[in-house]
Amino acid sequence: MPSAAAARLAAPALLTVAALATMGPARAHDFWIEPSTFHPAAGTTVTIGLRAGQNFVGDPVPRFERGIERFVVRQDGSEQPVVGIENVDPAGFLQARGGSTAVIAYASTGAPIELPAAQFEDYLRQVGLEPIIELRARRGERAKPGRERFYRYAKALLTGERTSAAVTQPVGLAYEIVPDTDPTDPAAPQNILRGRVLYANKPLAGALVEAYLYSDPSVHFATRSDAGGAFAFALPRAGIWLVKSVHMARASIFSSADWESFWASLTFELPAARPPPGAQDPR
Amino acid sequence: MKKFAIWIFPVLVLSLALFALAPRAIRASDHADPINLKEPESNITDLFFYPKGDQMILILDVRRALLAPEPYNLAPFEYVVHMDLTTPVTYGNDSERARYGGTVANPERIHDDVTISLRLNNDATLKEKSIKGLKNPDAIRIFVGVRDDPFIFPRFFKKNTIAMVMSIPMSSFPDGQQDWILWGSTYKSGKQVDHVGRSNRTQQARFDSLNTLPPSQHVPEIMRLLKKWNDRFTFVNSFKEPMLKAAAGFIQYLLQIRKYDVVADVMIYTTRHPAGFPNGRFLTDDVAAQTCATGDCILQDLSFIEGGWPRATVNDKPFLEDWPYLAEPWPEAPEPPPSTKSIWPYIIAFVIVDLIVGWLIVEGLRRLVLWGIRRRQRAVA
Repeated sequence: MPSAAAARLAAPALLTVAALATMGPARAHDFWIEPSTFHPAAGTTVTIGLRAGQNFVGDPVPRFERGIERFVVRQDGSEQPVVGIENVDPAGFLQARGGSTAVIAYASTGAPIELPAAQFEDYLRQVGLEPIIELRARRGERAKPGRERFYRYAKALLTGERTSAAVTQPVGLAYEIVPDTDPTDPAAPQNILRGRVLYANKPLAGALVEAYLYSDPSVHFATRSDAGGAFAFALPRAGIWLVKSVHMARASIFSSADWESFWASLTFELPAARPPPGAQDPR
Repeated sequence: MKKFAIWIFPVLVLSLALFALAPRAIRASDHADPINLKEPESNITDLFFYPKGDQMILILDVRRALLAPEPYNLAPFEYVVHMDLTTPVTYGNDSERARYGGTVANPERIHDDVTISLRLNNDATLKEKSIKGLKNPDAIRIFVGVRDDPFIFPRFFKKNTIAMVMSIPMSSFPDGQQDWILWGSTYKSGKQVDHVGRSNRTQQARFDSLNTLPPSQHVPEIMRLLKKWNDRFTFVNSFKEPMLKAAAGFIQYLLQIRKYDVVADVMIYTTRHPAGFPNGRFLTDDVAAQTCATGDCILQDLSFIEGGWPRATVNDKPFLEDWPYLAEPWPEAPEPPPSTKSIWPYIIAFVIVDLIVGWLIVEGLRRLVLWGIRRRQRAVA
């Protein structure tokens, strides 16, 4: 990747570790899919772990049927349910076909949570939802506890023998991170992840999107989506990455909560970059 | 009596529900489990595979709890041991190595490079053999006959089995062969009717439907069972009534697929590690205890329930040092006849009583209403 392009992509968007380190104690918990392998061979059984935590370090979340709205895998042109055992981690099992990149999608039913006002605002800042703080201020609600209902929307990509256009299509989650190209493609332009964030299947502008490297969670980046919901990261290292974003909207008047939050994540394994064109194999 | 009356209705309803929920597994049968096959000679009871000198010893036993004299019903069946010598096996997953001896990374590719097919006469002698995929098949020594059941399990102490013992020279396998995947099957009229891989797997009620499938189809079938029994467990467990919680526990213990179950049922043997269960199986391996140590305890539970103290950890007859290794058979004796009692008369009686009681209630209410109407009409008049 040309270094200038990388800098152009990274510089305006990155919130560094130092910036995040200045924030208050963690309140929010990210949610993501952690399969037993990101590059299964055809026919192998893959266990699908769900994780809740921070900075790509999480605790196992056992399967809870009543909390699952959708848990599926799309591979080689068809969609099947991800089966599993109640109260057991790993939460799901699937048999990889291994042909093209598989997309695992998980959507939870909502769950309520209430936080004291100060903690609620800490967490809103942490996940880049400052507009909600401003909105609460305008409505005179800053002293009120935060009553919300949260929904989790996680996706993971399993590398196949070839890439899949399905990766670039929304799977229909309420809040969703959709790559523009298949990031598991070893022939893709070097380590630039471009994508969109979609809320209710429409591009969402101004959403904070963060990326974490599994092998070294201190390596992480953040950017905001543009008017078209687009974002881009220059991911500097091959490995397993978590890309995540949180959106919040006012709950309907029929809801017992004031807010609804939507937690989207995407996990995948970025392959080692192909040598740039013209590079010679030293052998 | 009153207490009995209070309990009989829910117990009957629960029994009927569980009967309806139960898979063919429980009604059909398998191996060394307590359920009878209609044709017990098709029922595989044991598979052993271990090295001895420059030979590999292979033992396939059928016909559990045998004491009856010949003739047996062996002629309709073909007994086959399959070996896959080429599908890769890995040993990096500790839990799978402890449970299964290793990991077959791609179970869909399991196939047989070697088949050893035997047909027996009804007097338990060898009728014909067919050996494919091995070098110098004539060097393979075969014993067929009635022997002591070698399974270390009280229910089968002092019982016999029909044994097929083979001694296969290592030189019959490809040079440098290190890994074996093997399983046994029984066929009737070309159709698979029973299967054995690793000990104490298809014996479990939750795996019964694997018995008619080749190992390459096991994982999709286990996935199907996993969904089916998880759905049923979560449904039944979602109710607050203790009786349904108990039913959910029954499903969980006996029928629900475990997270470590999603592997094909085969025996793995490798020369990379010391022999002995689950790396192949010696005659002396106490698999009831060994499989309990990794999750499946029903055989160990039963051996405590039915056996004495301390629990037997060796066979009831010493194995032989020399060919054919299995102990001499126990004397012939009459076998207890299978039960001829059926649950259906009780179910029919229950339904009839239920209908009569229902009719009496409706008729009583009808008469009560009519009496009320007539009384009102008389009052108006």
